[in-house]
Amino acid sequence: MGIFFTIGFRSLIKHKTHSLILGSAIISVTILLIIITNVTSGIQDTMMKGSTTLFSGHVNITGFFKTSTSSAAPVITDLARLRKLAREIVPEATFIVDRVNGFGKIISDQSSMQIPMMGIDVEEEAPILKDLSVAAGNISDLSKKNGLIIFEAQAKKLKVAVGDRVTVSMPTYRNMYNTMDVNVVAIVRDMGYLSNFSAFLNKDDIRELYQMKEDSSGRVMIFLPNYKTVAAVESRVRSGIEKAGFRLMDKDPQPFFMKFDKVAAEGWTGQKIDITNWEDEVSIMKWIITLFNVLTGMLTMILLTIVSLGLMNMLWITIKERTGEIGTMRAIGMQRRSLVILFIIEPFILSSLSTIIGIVIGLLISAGLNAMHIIIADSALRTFLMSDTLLLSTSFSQIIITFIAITTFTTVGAIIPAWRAGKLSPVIAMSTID
Amino acid sequence: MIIIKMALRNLFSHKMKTLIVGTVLILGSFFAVVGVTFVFAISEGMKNSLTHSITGDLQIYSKLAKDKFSIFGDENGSYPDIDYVENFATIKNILEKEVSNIEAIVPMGGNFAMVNPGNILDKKLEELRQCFKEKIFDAAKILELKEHVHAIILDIEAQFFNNTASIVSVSAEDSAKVRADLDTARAESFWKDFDAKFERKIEFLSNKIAPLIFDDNVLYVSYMGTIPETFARSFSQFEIVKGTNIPPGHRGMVLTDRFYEEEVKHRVARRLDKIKRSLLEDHETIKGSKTLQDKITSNISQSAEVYNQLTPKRAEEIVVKLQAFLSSKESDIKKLLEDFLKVDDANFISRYDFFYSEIAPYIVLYKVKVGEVFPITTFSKYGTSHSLNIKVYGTYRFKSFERSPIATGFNLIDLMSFRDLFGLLTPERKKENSEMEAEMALEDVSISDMFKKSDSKKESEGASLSKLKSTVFTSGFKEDFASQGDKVFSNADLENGIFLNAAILLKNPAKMAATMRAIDSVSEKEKLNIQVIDWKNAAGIIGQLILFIRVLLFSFIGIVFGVSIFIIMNAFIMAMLERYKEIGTMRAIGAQKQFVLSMLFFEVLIQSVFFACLGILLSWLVIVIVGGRGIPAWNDIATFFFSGSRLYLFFDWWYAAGVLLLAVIVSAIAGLYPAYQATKIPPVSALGKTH
Amino acid sequence: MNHFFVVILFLMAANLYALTEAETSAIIKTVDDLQRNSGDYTSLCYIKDTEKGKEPRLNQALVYRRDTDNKFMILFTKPKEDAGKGYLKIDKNLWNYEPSTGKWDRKTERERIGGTNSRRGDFDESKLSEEFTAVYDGDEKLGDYDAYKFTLAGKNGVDVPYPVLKLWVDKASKNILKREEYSLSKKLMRTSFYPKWMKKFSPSKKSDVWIPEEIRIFDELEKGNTTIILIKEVDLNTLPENMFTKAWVESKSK
Repeated sequence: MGIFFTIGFRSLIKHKTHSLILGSAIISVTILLIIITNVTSGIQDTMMKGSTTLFSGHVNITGFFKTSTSSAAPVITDLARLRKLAREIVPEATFIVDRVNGFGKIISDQSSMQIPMMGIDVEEEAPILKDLSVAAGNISDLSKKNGLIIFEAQAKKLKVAVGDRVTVSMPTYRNMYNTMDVNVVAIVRDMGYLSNFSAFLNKDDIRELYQMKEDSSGRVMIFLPNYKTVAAVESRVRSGIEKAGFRLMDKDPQPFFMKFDKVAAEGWTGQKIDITNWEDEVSIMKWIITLFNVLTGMLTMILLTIVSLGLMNMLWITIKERTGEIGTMRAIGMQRRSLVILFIIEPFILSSLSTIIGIVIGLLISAGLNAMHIIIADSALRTFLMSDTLLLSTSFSQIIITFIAITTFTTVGAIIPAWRAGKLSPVIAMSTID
Repeated sequence: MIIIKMALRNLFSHKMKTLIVGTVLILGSFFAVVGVTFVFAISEGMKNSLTHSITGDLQIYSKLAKDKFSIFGDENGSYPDIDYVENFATIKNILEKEVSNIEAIVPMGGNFAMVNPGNILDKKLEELRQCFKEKIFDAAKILELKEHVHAIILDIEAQFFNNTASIVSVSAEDSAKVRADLDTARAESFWKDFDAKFERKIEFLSNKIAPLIFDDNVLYVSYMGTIPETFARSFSQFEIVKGTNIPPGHRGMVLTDRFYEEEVKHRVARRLDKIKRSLLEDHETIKGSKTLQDKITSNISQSAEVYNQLTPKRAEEIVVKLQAFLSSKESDIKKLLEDFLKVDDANFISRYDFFYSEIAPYIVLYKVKVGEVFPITTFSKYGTSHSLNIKVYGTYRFKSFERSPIATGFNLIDLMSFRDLFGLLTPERKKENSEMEAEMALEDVSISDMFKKSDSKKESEGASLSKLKSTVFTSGFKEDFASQGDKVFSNADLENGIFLNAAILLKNPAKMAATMRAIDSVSEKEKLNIQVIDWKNAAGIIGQLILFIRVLLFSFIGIVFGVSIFIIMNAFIMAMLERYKEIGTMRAIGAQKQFVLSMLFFEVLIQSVFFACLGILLSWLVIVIVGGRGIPAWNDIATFFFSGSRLYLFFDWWYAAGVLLLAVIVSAIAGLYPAYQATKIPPVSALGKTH
Repeated sequence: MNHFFVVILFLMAANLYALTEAETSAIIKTVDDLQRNSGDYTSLCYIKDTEKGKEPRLNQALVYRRDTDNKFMILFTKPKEDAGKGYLKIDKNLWNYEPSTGKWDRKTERERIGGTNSRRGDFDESKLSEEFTAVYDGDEKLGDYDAYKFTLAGKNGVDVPYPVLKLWVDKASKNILKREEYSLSKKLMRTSFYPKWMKKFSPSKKSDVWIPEEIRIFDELEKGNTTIILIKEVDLNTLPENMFTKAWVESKSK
């Protein structure tokens, strides 16, 4: 086998021009695909990081409490027991915290907006909140009562700065509005689209606004050391919670605010627990990733098909040109099969080398783009990429897949010409030598 | 002729090579045509679903706007503060006179409102009140309703103390009050003289007991204030589905049919309608569609919405009917309904009909019905509210966009009511304002003059209490409020007032940029103080999304194009290079440069034309068959992009011709340049080694 | 050397006229006392709210107070659109009534009364000495009036809409002439002028009650916006017992 590689290699070097042209085609396509998949990965990472900082854990114990058959509140009761269960079922969890869901109006002196807000315990959440990049103020000040943390975009709209007072207004269980004046204790840098709809209040304050009992909350968020284990942990939590006697809702991979309508109309009352993961909570944004993946997939297929054809064509011509060479080789005793293998290995070497070079260059470019922290100027793009700066992240599995796909495709294209080459009879082949 | 024959023969003799190049050509031209048709359909579709329904081609609004205009609201979900423009009639007349491309100007203004249609107890109490007001006393019906109300009260009691108290910290005071009210409502003494004192009794129940039901009944309505006839006339796709449009001069609302069917209609009924549509229009089956199965599951779990709305008497009757229909001995209405709602392909139609004939008339099929009047409340920036009683005259939709979520977002309200709800000064309020100004008799004093000691004592004794004592508090407030809806106003009132923004429809949309410039200069000249933006900017985030998708898809196509061209060129170059020897031979036997070039030219021409046409034919087939039937949208996001439930593709001959031309040109350049080089080589060297 | 002494003497002399801490608190307390009534209070007010470049919006309202009990109520009477809307302070809570929905919503101190730039504090009892600590800032002349200038800081734990105030108090009458209201971050939010005061004899207090006839408020965040409160008529007679209740407010719009 080794000899084939040597021969193949030498041959490539000999036919420099052909190798270069085809090689550069493969390299360019590879670079393009690597960069695109890195951008998609970047978006996925941003989404995960964003959602797990802003409103979800890797796995969530959440649910609805129905006070009547026609209402639904995103509340879980028996909080202490649920947190204890979470600790027991997922001992490997890095953190477990709980937050209260809220939705209401923030009224400043010059403007107002209606957004979802979360009641948090700043001290407990310190490790999660460190992912927030503070533009002004002090996040830990939220531990004092009557504080509010907002994002830059919201601060801009409300025209407030740290230290300013705003009124928070929320509808309580009787559809009556309850209000509280709070101070802006910190302004945090935007995290793309997701942060437009987030703000943080002190957990006790939000409980007071909603007149909620101490033992109730919105969701228990479980953070895992490795987010790839989400699926397994989720099923453990489901069975664990169910065994402990809680009623479970059927799995519905949607964010909680999309479930209100459905749950409100169901005929049960009391508490039901809903186990979700971070992907469910951002599922409305997932379409962007799906779109990118689908487009990339299609692009890959089409490009590779076209490149394969080109390769086939080139190989055909190459073989024609090297008919003499082939004849000679057959004449000195090389078997047909060996010839075919040789003519497959050559393009294989070319494409795998080109792919590797392409991957390396692609990764270098990605790293370079990342380091430049390119700020996305267009707000539409910013919204969809969910970040203010262009982020590319590499997924090792993606690279392997890309490598295998490109190399396979291009090599497959070589099979027919190679097979035809094998068919050539030595005599005729040699006759073309002059 | 000979040349062509030779060209053809050459192509045939190198079959494999021809085929390979041909395949690249086919694929390249196929993707070029299909790809661009697809992208074009999506972006045109999204554009039309906006310009033909809501945004028009252009939007104008006040130059003094604090925020950027976005018809769907800004990124935070609230409406931007765009100030307002004083007089629609003035603006309209000037613009129509001075800018020629304008087809129509439609005034608009967007806002959100809350509508509380009342919970089940409210509705039943209202029915009860109506019964008592009827001339003929229907004792049976009254008894039926009273029984239902009683049952609801018992439910409320259970829910409040068992459930609510678990999550909410109800103060002891509140709890005691609720307990007392509920006891009153259940007491025998309360019901004994009910008929005699029905007004007071119903009011007690409605004020004290009904609010105890925690209901998710509040509808969030986004609406647009406009001149209903102008709107209907200017947007050609507009059509009334149920009821009528708002009659000229009257206050009222017209809901989008989608909103009416999706949010206002009873959930179970709505799902049954959707299943029916999928089965009959989209030819799907319950067995083969998970979406439909999910809908059925939801219906079953939400059957409470049906039986909770039936009066006890009616429930009994339906039990009997269901037992007969399902051949079941089950006597519990809940279980019967769950069974009934477990539909499949075989029994769906008959059960659908049964539902609408036997069950639907007795439940609250629509939270707000066409023809009904209901109160609508909006909240201003700082939380002050404005309310109005509005009649729903009907529902509307835009033909061909009826399933698009974008085009169905705006319920229409007459501009007069819009102004009221927005807190703008109405003529009545302006009149009251001037009365109050007169009463105030305020001096106009500048800050510097404020603290000048003058003759008039700064420290007075205050006016006499004449006004205070005579301030008759308008107890007729509620009647006033109710009668607002009946007042008729003139077209002049409508047009001579404030509007927030207006859609401009152009005669020739292609001249958009020039028209925008014209409007700007007219605004400058006549001091109209308006600014104009195109539909894409007006659509805010949606417009940006459309742009983003367009760019993404076109880049995608562009990459495919680019690579295809590269490969085609490569293929032709290689093919030509390979034939140096052949060319040399021909030249050696005496063929002229011209002859050889022409032959090669025809080869390239035939090859590119033939295969590109094949590719185009293939794309035509795909577009006509798949695109003609329509690509179905598989979820809401897809529905949004497809501007409906299906995306239709249209084959554009001109475009195809363009692709063909491009393919030929690319091939020609790729093939003929090396060919030209080849003919330059002296035959002798060509006959030698081929490398 | 001589210069130095002159300067010292001058400063000492100036100091002689400065107010001590005790004197400052006393003056602020007087400002409050002048406006307090030991009985009930009813007034007919007009509020004119003008946004820059727009037509003004006017309201007429009845303001009720029972200072001994810390009770406070506003009932809007004009225009028809707003008639029946009301504010009621119960303990520390400010409730707002909306006749069209029949609902009571809880509001805070920062609530814009009727959507205007006025606050509850503009209509209610003056409690500066309870809610703020005052520091004397020197004297200043306001037009033809000599005024003391004070800087007030909200006391800890007290809920006030503007935590920092600057007050100009007329030396002669001890009534407020001008008031600047700041946020904690020292941003100037509102400037109010009190150009006219009226006094009414209160039988229960056995002395005069001072009421600002006009309060002219200038929005410092949205320059050009003004709100003018005009207190037209004041009645200090006793009010019915059950007035300051939610039921009473609701009954007004039935």
